[in-house]
Amino acid sequence: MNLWQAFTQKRKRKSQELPEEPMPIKHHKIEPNNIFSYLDAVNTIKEQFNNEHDFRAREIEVFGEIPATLFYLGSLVDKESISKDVIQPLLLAPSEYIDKEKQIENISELIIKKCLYHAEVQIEDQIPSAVTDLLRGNTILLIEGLQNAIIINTKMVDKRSITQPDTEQVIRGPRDGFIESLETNIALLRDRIPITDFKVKPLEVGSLTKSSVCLFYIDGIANQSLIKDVEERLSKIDIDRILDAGYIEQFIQDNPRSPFPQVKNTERPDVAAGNLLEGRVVLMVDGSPFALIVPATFIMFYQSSEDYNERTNMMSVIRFTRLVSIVFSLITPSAYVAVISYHPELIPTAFSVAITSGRAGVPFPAVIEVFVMEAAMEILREATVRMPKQVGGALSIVGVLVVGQAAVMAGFVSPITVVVIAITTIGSFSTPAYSMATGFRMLRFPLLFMTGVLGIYGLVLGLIVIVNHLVSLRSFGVPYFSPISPMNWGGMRDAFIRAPLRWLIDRPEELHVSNKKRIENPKEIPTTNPLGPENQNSGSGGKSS
Amino acid sequence: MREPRQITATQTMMMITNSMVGVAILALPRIAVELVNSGAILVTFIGLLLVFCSMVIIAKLGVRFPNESLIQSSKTIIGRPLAYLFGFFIFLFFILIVGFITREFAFILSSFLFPDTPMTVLVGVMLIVVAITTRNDITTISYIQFLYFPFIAIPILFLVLLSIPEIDMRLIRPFIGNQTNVFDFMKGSIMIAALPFAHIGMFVLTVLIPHTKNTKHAIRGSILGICISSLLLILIVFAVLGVFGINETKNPIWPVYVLTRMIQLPFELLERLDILFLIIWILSAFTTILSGYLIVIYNGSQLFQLRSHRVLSYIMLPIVFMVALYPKNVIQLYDFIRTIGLYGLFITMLYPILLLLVALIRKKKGSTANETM
Repeated sequence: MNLWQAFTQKRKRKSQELPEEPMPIKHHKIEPNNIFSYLDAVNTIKEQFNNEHDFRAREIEVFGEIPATLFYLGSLVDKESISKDVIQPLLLAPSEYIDKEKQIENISELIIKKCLYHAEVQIEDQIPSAVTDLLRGNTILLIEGLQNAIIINTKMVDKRSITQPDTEQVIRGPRDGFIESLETNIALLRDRIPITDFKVKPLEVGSLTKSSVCLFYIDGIANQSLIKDVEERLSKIDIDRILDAGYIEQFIQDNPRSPFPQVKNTERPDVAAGNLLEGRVVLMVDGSPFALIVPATFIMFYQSSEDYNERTNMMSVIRFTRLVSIVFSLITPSAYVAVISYHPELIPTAFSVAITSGRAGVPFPAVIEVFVMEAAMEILREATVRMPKQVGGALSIVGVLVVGQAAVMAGFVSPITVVVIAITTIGSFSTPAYSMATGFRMLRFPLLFMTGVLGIYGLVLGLIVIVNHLVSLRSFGVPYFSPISPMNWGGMRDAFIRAPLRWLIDRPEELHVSNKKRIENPKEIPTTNPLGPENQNSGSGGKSS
Repeated sequence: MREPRQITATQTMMMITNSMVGVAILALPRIAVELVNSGAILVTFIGLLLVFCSMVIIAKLGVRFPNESLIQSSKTIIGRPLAYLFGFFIFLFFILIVGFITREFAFILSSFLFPDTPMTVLVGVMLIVVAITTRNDITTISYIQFLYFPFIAIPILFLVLLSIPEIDMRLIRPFIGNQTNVFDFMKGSIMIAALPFAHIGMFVLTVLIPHTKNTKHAIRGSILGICISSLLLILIVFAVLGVFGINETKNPIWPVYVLTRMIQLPFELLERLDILFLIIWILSAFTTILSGYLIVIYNGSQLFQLRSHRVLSYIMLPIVFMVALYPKNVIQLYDFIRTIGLYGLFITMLYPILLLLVALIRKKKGSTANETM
């Protein structure tokens, strides 16, 4: 036996010891069985849920004589509703019903039409799907002699109340936010868009979690091929779990390796409704308070829903501030390093001297100094997110005193570096979309490296790479930088500034919507003077005249 | 797979302007002054007029063959072997041109900012960034060029505006120069038309035409592009000549850079503006090299019948890199640029004229299908 054989032998043995395939997950396999007898069905379901803690089988007799069984999972259902709307009417049903109609097939119809008080009832003739329904919180009613089961939707799971979302605060605007329950979220959107064209398309994703995903769009506005594309991408997802909308986002985005989000997420129903009305498609997952909006463009990530609620000139300035702060959060540290260590002749002499004297005792080159402080800032920020609320005060003291004051006094960093880091951090926090802010925050480290090596040349080249990447991104075929490049004047009215609402006549050009007009027939709203001198007498009403 | 045709006239215009306004404008006033002294503005104008004419010819050729690249259409016009021969010349010529302008840019950087940084790094980093960018499709590249246009055009206008108080009109006159004759003007204008940026600006149109929405967009875009870039270039020559006069324009290698050192903001905000303008030069160098590199790999992919220009993005990198590192010093580099550029006129000016004439005589025409009007 030569060495190679020994090696392969060993490999083989090893593979025998450790079976590569993981233990197959136990799926509940039930043979599809169309025509079932009552006893068989009861036994199959009971076997399935043998000793489950919350499994309940309640036996009753319908019409005083026919045995029946109700199955439900105690943890998922509204027991009060089962007692009052299901069991009570069934027990009280007079036996005359059955005497009149001897045909046994019609019993299920009879029960649904004449007995049950509950609103949501349907008929199921496959045991496996009946079991799935049971697991979703429905109640199964099996009656002797029946060819099918009656499914009653009795689901009730505790959910939190509607609160203001923490991630997207506004000063002026609605205060409600999505919650984990998909039904409630649909209600929030339906309440805002009460038209029949508002469509909700249910889908199921995740082989084990079987999460329900809903696709929202407005028929007649959204582009049909966009809807088809989203559906197709969703149907291609193959994973065992969908625990949050973020899972879906990562599967359907165009470029998964990009640091920038190509799907916008929001917790605000007004943002979702606004985007639906522009012709975009919204996705929601049961169990996640985040709605996904596709296609997303770059400008959407620094717009806030508040922009449209306040007056145009103020919000234009504020929106521009936000854009500047995004850029600041990316380039401030690098620009500082470039100027300090490569091109000090750029700044006026007096200021240059001040900076140099501030840096006199600092032992490192500027790039190391900035890098260390940025890293410290990232650690502080991450700690603020993860730590329990009770110790928050302690952290802010440590942050302010140690990282700020003490580091400067110890001669570890120069005061101006602390100012630069502060501007960067605050800049990244003023971006309304957290995902976009994170992308830019992380990119400033490679940019800092480039600047440290090549000065302003490295900085500009780094920025060129980032901008080129941004421009080349697409979200569902829509260029990420539209309406800036490719240029569209109509869209520019809502890009850097926020033009008055009456100027925003068209829906975004890049979405190729079916109905382009946001404002159908623009009318001048008269600015007359109802309290002018000629009308002052009518104030006293009918009395005077 | 064909990309959908969606490049508009504005994008064509901006791509051509970005390609024409490269780092070469730093040296342009010196080259213009060399033969005709104070006739520099006129000679620049004539040179750009030549570029304009050949641009129109390339556009006309593009109108006849709206769906085909230059190599494809030349195959139908002059036959396969000749088309490949000339295609190969174009390919080689632009490899040299791109290499040399990258090196020219690296020389500027190293002489003003990074005297100790090795040339390989300065050239290599730029070429890598360009190669990464050419991995995108041509439509996306035109979007990218579009985005940089205002960052190049506005600062140049700003530079001219800031230098207006320093301009002395006496230095510009006489417009036809002192003791010059027609031959000087002819020589000078050909020298300007032979500058690498002119070649790139003209030929980038051949890459764009199969991707513009329709030929109307291509023609309008190319004419607008050449006009706007000519305006910018003439303004720069005017400003430099007006501030420095003939003799001081002749001496420095890059007189425009000296101009950016001289000018100051009317208020004390920044000590010197040359670093800020350096950002603009980096940007304009990037856009010019990007266009040139695109021409190289696009023609290469047509020549070797590849699926897409993307295949060559990284393959051409070491070759262009070696060309860029070949010249030993600035003087040798400018010698090379001048010689290669003059020979290049046969390719970029005479070859399209030849193609157009033969096409007219033989009545060859490309299919006009697949065009969205």
